Amino acid sequence: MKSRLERWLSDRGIDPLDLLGILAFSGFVFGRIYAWLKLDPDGQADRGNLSRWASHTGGLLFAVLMMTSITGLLLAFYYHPTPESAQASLRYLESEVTFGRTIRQVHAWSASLLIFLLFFHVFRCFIWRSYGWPKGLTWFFGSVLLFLSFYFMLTGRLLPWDQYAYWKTVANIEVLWDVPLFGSPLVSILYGGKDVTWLTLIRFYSAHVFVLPMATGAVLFIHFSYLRRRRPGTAMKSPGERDE
Amino acid sequence: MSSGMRARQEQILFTARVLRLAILTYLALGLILTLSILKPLPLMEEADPFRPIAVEPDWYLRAAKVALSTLPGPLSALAILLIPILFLALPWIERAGWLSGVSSRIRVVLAIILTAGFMLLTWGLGC
Repeated sequence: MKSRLERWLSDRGIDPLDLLGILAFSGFVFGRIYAWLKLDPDGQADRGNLSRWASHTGGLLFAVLMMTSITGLLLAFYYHPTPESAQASLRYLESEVTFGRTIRQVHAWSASLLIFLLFFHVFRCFIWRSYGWPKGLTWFFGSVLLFLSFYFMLTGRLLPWDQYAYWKTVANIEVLWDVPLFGSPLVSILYGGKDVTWLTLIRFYSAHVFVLPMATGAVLFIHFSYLRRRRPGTAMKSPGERDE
Repeated sequence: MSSGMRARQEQILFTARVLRLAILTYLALGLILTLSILKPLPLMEEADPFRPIAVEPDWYLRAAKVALSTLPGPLSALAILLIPILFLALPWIERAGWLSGVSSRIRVVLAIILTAGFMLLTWGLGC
């Protein structure tokens, strides 16, 4: 079954693979405009100074987070969190709602990209020593955001309520359950028990849609507040830029 | 440098940063849209608790699974508990001066070793 976007593209004779070409071409055009406007006075970007680009992982993460949140909100309009109708509501979304399938796919893929970018962001911050004071609390709350993102992924995994989602959740729970000493209390807190039932689905839905977004929003606000408290003029600058 | 020139340079640098971020965001959104069309994640049949299928845990838990199966019980619990605590406490560890002798080169090597170790446990050794 093709999505509306796929049909729209194929009606115009565009293969989805062409999107990659369009993406590469427009990236090239953007790059040329960037160089033409002389927005990079030292020509560092043209010389391939990766650190200038790597300094934007945080901003990029926020952009992808916004995309995940907006598509998640759109999905919540149609999703019904009961075992009988969870999957039916998603099938309805995919087949009847305009761009419904694309919205679900974009939500899933942007969540995956978010986790990947989070790892990259942590890696970059570690290398740039962004955990030292006065940025220590920014690092601390950023780490809390990392753990919240994992919980987002764990809870979102079950929501499609298909065989793959169900047994993947069971496999995830078993890993945590096997942790000696604190495994079972952790599973009880996060999952409400070892068995995956309709109660788990409701609990995950509540966590994924209400509790975690509120917690993430609050921690994100604190994370950004501490970023702004840093010495003026150093925000969004790579170590190379700061040295200039 | 006069304050006017400095302000002008700051403005140029800020515009450049915003544009760089816009380019990266555009590329990320393009990548997501491309993947959404080319590699859609299908919905399988409805969940059936009495008909198990063989699946591995999510990739970010596989390293923990390998650690649990290879390390003895208390040691694996300690490792799994210690890693997040060390992660959160890194600023205070730095403040205490324990990392003061670690040069940036060692830091890079350490980050690469940690990442490679995580990737090896996740995808290399299997579960």
